[in-house]
Amino acid sequence: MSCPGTSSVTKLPGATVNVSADISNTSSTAVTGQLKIVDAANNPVASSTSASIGGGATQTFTASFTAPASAGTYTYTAQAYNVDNATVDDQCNFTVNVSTAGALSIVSVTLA
Amino acid sequence: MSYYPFTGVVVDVRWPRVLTHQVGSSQLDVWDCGGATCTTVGTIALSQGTKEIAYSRSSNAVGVMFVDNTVWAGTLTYDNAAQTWNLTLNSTPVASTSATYMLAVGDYVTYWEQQAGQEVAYVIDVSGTVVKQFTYSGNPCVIISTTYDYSGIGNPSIARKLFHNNLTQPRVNHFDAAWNFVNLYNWHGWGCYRGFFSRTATTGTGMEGFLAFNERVASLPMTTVRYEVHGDSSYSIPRWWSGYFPYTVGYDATNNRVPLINTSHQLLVDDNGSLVSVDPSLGTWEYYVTWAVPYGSASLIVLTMVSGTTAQSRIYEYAGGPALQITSLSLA
Repeated sequence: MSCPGTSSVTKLPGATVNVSADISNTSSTAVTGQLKIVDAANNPVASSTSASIGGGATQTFTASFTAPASAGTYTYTAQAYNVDNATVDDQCNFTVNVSTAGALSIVSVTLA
Repeated sequence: MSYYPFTGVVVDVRWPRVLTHQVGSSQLDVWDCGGATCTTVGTIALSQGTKEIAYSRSSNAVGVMFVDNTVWAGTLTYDNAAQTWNLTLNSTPVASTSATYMLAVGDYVTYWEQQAGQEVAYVIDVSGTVVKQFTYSGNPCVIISTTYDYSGIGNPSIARKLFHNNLTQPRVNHFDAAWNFVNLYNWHGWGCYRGFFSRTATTGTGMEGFLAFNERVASLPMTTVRYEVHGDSSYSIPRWWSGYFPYTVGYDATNNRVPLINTSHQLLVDDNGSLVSVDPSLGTWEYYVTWAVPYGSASLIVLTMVSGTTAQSRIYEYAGGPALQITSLSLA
């Protein structure tokens, strides 16, 4: 399932990918939540700090990871991790397009 | 999910008090689960070793089968103020020398036995009086029967139903309040019922009645069962689920939650059809019985695991489905 909001970003090889997610607690009691990012092989690549989310409240979590060194399209999964129950309550996919196109820019031109 | 462990089979739950029975034991154990763990705080003595106890929370009807296969009927009530159970059995047993299985739902306890190659099923009231008896011949299956009060649900003129395995086809007998035969439904072409649960649902999305049961498919191993949850009064169309799982399923009608065991021996909990939580720590016991009771806005899910004459149980607190949702994501 694609993530609500932005579901893809283009990055240079080795650049930093910043993920920000709003996670809401649909229950009536506080839940400790965390944002986790895993790659297509389900390997963890990033996680936010955990924080308590009040019942019915929404909180923003951020996590960062390094884009792959090779050009290509990579799929990742953002997970809303329930620390209290040790369960992934919700998840969605997003893609990182790693490209060298546009990597070069003209810094200065000298005419003589 | 965390859980509370118990030895024996859970007979009743009035949280934080839990009543359990160890197969063959001459007592019931009362547990207090006020803290993170449970401790025994009392016992209810039985006159001799007990094989099985069937209890209906809705009417306090209880049946006790002792090791000599005699069946006793009575009541099991709970004193809220004193937080104690009171077990009262009749002074004489119901005559039986080969009772094999019991079940209590609604106002009655049912048990059945084999007599000269025939399956004989009985329905008894709390006084031990046999109010209905059925005899089937040529049935290789264990008969599991129970009563279920459908009054006010679907057809209010039909007050009682008896679910059983009649000859080679599961059927549903309908009776009026005086146990006069009213009608009979053929029900699927499956094999034997191994377990059965029925509840009256008064909440939920238009659900009028509820049936959940396990069916053993005769040509498949005993560990393969089929269960369905019927959410209406048609008795034929499962509202929610139908599928093959080993072992069994329970139901919390108040909260519309259905716990079940999947093929990996995981406890799964569902509100309306999608699996939402698993417990991978469960072992590979031979047989599971699970049921559920309301616990405030949550459910207490009872999982009993039986291997031979040894049993252990777990009670899970289940507060609901997934709590956290990703509502927005941004990348930079």
